[in-house]
Amino acid sequence: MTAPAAPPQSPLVRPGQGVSDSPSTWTIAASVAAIDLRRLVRDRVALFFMVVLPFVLIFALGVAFPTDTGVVGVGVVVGEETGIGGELLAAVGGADTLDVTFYDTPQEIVRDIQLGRIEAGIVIPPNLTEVVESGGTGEVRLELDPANQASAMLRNMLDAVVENQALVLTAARFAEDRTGAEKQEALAVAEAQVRSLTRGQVESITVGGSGTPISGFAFTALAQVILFMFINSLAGGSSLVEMRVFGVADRALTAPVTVAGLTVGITLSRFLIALMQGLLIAVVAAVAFDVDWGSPAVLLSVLTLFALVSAGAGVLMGALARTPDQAVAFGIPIALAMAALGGCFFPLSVAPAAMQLVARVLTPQAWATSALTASVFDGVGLGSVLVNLAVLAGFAALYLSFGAVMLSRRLQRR
Amino acid sequence: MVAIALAAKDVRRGVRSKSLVLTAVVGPLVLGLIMALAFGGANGPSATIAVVDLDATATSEGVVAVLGDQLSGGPVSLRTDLRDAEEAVIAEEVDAALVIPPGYTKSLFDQPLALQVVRNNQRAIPGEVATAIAGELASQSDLIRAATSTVVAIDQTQPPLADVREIRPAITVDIGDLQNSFNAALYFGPLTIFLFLGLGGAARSLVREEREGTLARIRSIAVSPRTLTSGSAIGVFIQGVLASLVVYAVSTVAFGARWGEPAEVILVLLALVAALSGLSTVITAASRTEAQAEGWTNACAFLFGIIGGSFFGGAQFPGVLGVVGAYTPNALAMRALIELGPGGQDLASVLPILAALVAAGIAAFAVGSQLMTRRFG
Repeated sequence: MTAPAAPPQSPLVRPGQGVSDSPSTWTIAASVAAIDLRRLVRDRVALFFMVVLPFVLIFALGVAFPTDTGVVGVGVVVGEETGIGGELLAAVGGADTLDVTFYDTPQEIVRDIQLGRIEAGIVIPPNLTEVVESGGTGEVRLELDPANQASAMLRNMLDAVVENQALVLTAARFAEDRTGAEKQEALAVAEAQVRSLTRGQVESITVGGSGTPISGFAFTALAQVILFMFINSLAGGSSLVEMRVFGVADRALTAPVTVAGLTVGITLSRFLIALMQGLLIAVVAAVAFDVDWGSPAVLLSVLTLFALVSAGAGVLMGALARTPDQAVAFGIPIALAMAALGGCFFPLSVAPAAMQLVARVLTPQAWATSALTASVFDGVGLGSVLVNLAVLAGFAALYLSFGAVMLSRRLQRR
Repeated sequence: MVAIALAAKDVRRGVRSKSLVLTAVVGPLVLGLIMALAFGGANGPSATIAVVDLDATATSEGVVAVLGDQLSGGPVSLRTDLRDAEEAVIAEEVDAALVIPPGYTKSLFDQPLALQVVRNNQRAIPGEVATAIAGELASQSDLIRAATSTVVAIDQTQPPLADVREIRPAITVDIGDLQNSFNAALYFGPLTIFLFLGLGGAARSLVREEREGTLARIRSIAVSPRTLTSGSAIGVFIQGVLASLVVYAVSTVAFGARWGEPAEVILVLLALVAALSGLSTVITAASRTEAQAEGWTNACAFLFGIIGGSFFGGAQFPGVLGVVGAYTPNALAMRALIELGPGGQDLASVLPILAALVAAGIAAFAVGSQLMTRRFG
């Protein structure tokens, strides 16, 4: 069997280069990668996913995380406007940190918390004064979204507003019972005592990290980098399937192109695409939204290794899927599930311990987000995330080797 | 009848197709389950809290006993000193620790002592739970100090500890059960995105058949282009309905998701599927190639998902983005579901939203069918 003559228009063969002067695997790989990258630049839909969509998300979230004004949107249902209810209402309305909206029913408050219009709600019952004056305990209800990471802070904030009223009334009632004092006298003394009362404090001792709260736009930016690098690479596996099933690979292999060269070239281009996307998002987030990425060495190391992981996963998907549709149909759900499990939708620290363990075993995202989180929020350097980098390198080696072997086999079979 | 037969064929193919099942059924269920597990599932977050009682009085022991009854993570684990508690938190033997300082009982009648919470930076929610508990304890201590100092100010006598323990607060703060009443947003958000992706694949079946030559064979038996496109549209709609009903049923039965009244939920799902099916059809019809249709479907699904709040449990963005996002099918359907569920509204109040979704779907179907008919005519 003779070697096929290189077609004159082949981009892999330079003018004057004969068949016997076969290019090396690395030359082929570089040419294949260059062609792949040129194709990508011309593919508007791919560019949309690679550039536009992450930026829409980052800009959207940048707007959604306004500079910390400390003002919280709170809904209030006023069951009684006078008496204790009225005093509570005045306290809530007078708090600088609360932006109050009035509602008719508790259901409306719950609805608007779900829709993100307000962050919390207070329901003042209609018979609050009557219950308290008859010696009972009135119940003021707070509505909070447990999925909101700030719910504990909101609860403390709203508790404090209600607590002032509760302290005076409780102290006055206790004094009335104990001393037989008149109600008005007891209330006046209680008010004075509560005004001068030093409140008990809670101190936090944080172990296992600096304790800097993980929140806001910086977390979202780092999570989106990891999410989109992986999801684009996995969905990009469809173009590899197209290349295989529509005969593009066959035609390329009739030129002096080896399977190894083609496989390395494709992997190289996927790596460069993922890395460029990661760097682009990081730079724009830093320039446009002032995101401090912490140590540049950590950022570059994580992005480089995660680009290798993503490239390997994309090549593997391109080798395993039978049709382009299948690559997308499998790729996007797998990528989103791994992203959710790996801490791209919420800080992994909010998840139960067992879930964190599963995430670390199954997803490279968990190691990438935790390394970036440590760098961004704790200000650690490369030395503190070496384990993360080593595990990412392991995932990269696993995916790349498995992907390359599978793709080579598929290409050789044709 | 031919259109129905073609639709039935598409539905059979779709049901057998791993792609549709994975995208429109497995995807939202897995993503929803991960989110539900992360945020405490149906029963809210639980935590194992250690208590270090450095006061060691009858009062502090009473506090520890009460804490044990309050915690959802089970009885508290007692530790001897702060260092022991820190080591237990670092080793993740417990999620967090609460330290009752020495002199706590005495401080109830004097200046307050700070309560300490040892929290692991890698375990945010238990840390918040422990801090909230410590905050409640600090508030109760404040209550006791306010009450006793008021008695002392009036009567110049210190009330006995036994009486102080019986102080009942005039007002308590009760935390509502928002999550317990409705947690379907965790599943519904991903469903809207994945359904769009899956229906896009179903809508492309005609284009795929055109490429594979199957369409030419079907047309050789005198089937009009309009019948072909109608059959495809009906097939896409039915596949969407089946997929969303499976997600609804499985998430309810297997994962304990609470969506609301079944009849109302099903109406919302039908309206959502109508809108997304229509959009999928028009995107496919307007695209020149199958790959382009796939790319634009994916782009729209993600874009609508992001600005429509599907990734964020239905929460909308502020400003212009929020206004635009509120009119995506994802956001409209989510709003209807929330209005009917936690919002407590009746069906009539959300009918305009459902009608808008269905009308958008029908209009998009009409445009898409016209384009398809021209293409295959």
